[in-house]
Amino acid sequence: MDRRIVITGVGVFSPVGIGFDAYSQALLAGTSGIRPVARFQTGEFPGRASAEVPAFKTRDYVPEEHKKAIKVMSWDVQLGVVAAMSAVVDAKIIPSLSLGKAAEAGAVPSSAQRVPPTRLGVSFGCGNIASDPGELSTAYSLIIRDGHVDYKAAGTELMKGLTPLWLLKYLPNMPACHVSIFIDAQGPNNSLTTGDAASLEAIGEAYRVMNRGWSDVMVCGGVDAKVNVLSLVRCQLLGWSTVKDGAPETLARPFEKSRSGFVVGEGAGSIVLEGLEHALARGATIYGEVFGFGGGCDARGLNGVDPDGRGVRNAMKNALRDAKMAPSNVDAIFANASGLVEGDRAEARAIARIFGAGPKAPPVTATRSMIGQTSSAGGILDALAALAAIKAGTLPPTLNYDVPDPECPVNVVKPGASAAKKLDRILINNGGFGGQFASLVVGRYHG
Amino acid sequence: MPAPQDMSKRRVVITGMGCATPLGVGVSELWENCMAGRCAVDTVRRFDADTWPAHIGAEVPTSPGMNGCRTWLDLDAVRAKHPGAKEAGVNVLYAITAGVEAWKQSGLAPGAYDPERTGVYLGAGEGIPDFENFVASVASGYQDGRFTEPPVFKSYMNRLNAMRELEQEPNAPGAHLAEMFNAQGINCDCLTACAASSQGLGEALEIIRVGDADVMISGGAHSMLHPMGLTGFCLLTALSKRNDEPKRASRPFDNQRNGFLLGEGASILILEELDHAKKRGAKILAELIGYGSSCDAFRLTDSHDTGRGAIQCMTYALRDAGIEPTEVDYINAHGTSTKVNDRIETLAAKKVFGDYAPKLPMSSTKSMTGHLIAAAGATEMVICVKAIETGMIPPTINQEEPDPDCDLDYVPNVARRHAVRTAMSNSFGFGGQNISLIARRLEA
Repeated sequence: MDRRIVITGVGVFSPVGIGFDAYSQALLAGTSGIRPVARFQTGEFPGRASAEVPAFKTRDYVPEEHKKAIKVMSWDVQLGVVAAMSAVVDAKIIPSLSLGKAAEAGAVPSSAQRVPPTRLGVSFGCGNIASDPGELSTAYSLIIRDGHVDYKAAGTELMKGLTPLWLLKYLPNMPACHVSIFIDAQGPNNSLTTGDAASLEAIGEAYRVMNRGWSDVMVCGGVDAKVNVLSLVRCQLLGWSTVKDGAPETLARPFEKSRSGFVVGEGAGSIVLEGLEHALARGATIYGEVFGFGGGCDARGLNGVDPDGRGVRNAMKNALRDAKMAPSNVDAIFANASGLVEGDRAEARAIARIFGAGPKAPPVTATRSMIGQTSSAGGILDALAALAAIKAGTLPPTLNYDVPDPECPVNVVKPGASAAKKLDRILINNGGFGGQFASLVVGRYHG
Repeated sequence: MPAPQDMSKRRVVITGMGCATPLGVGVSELWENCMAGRCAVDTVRRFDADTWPAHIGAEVPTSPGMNGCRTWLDLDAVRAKHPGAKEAGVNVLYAITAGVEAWKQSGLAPGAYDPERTGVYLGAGEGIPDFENFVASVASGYQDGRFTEPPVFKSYMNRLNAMRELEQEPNAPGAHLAEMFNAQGINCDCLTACAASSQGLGEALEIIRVGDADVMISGGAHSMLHPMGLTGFCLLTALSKRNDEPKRASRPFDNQRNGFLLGEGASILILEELDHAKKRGAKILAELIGYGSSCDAFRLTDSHDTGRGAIQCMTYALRDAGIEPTEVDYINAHGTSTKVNDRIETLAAKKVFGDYAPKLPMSSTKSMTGHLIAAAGATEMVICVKAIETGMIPPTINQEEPDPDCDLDYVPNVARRHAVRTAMSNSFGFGGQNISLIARRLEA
């Protein structure tokens, strides 16, 4: 159980930038990725802001011999695949892996050390993928009669109107499947679908798989892309996304008094986990170390968050126990807070209960103020943000924290605040609807 | 490859099981019907599926007499009893039903467990979409050969029910079970297609082994028996089109097999650390002793020709359990009834078990239950535990014409008396994830 696990590759596709360097710079500078919805027309729909990933070419991140597979990838699957493949290239674990010139790290030399396929696994978090309505609309227009489905027509028209592999575009295990095929990863392969907790749980599981000696290298992370009609409507109907008007970049206000919900975002991130000795033996670049993971649950079904945040509190407690750390060992917290009135308050209470309130409590920051609520990708995007912060020795700010909410007793990092005294170990929280929460402790690697 | 079994590992036992399957609601009728070699496959009744190329499947009985079962699930009664699940779809209601049965059998009651050390790990799938409203809304965006989003936004906002939408998320079943049994520990859901609930059981086992929980509520729930699910599998040409003979359609390993049969349902198992179970005097149904996990890394829909993924996961599970291949008394096969799966699984079993393979009974209960997709593995683990408990092995039905490539002992057509101390369950997912689990009778 005491095997040390380090992070040796990173890949990120976020609303504030593609690639770890761009992402780090944007976050640390307090850049907002929230803008008016650009992907499609929204008509009279009240939530008109979102955080979208800038354009890229998927084929630049897929090995030449597998380019045909892109046709069976939904947008979510593509995002997950490009993030994971970027991390794989960055980690240099697959010799002669050559992606397009746009892929940030370029080609891997043929002299790189190949991880044995059965010792290489994938663990990814993924959201419930919404099907593309444009693809379905022709067939659907032929099967609707007087506002009702004509089932006799449906069987025939759907068979004619959709492609043979249509279903595969939308299965949440597909990012991990495609990646396993591209890099011949025959080790454990899982896809976590626990809503907002999914990608931290995927990292946590990869960490456990390695701890029990089942693999030497795990590609992990997560993806979610809820900037689509169905998901935007769901978030609106559930009262989660803000309907406020105003400049888009001011709409996401975690922990702030006037917060009124989150802004829907999208993104994907990936890290490569590797046993320390394995990484040292091949001279890998080490971005950080994973110290502990824990989960917890509100146990309230779908009835909203526990007011005292017991799910996230249990997750934090379990992560600290796993990391064999006292709360005072944590230098900063990347909060789950997305701007939900009750959710932010519950998490703040849980943090205060473990870490104390007042000036001595660790600084807390909420990247959702910049990248929106990225759900199943939120945990991995924060893990990457934490690595960026550790490298730079400074924390990304929480935007729009104008009037502190006294009911959220945490030390929120404002733009322009002075750097934390020491930034070695960061705790990350993620979770949400359904009450499932996860926490991860990552930190600076000290030899 | 995993290291040999670490004897310092905490041991994990099964203390409760429950299910809602096409062959019966509750473990006892599922088992009776398996023993009798009955088949749950029939014409799809949930919606008028006549014009789909394959329109037979195995639905959970939700009205008296369905599938010839004596038990049936009153969905409205489950909703009434669980007000938090008023808008829940069938996958959630199946999970709740299976969970109640499993929890009751385990005898866990407030005071007998620590909620913070009790977790959930399901392999549960997404719910059934609100098809009528979904189609009408999407179609509203299509005019004069063009699709635009604004009418769809408007239609969705008017038509969709927020909670019904939320209940479709794959983590909803696990959220409900956590609430019902006050499980405040780690709560995960994985969705690796047909391997999901086996993978959930395996990871739940590991969570208890390393000491992160004492009790885990695990298993799976899924239904893809809905218009778009059926469409998706029909398009993949994965389903049997033997529409005129539903009871003969699911025929794993038989030479006339031509695809699987879509089933649905849920099975929940309560896993518990051995001493925790002993201390409270729980009835121990079996010990979960081995878990193996691998990936084909080959193609999205086909197994690797050599069966390497299946060979690896079975080998790893044996090693994890610390047992010899000859100690396995029964395999519940993945056995989907597709041409490729059954041939490759046979090949892999021969490779792993060698000379012992022909003597090792390996049946596919999917011949009777249909394929429960994410819920398949957990259901088949329930069946393995019953085989251990009763010394009976369920048959593979519809064995009429042997396939020369499938020449093992599939327990054809009739249940068999056979002492089962140790049973293996295989689950191979679309996309290449392979899981093997091994359960054994607990002997002091």
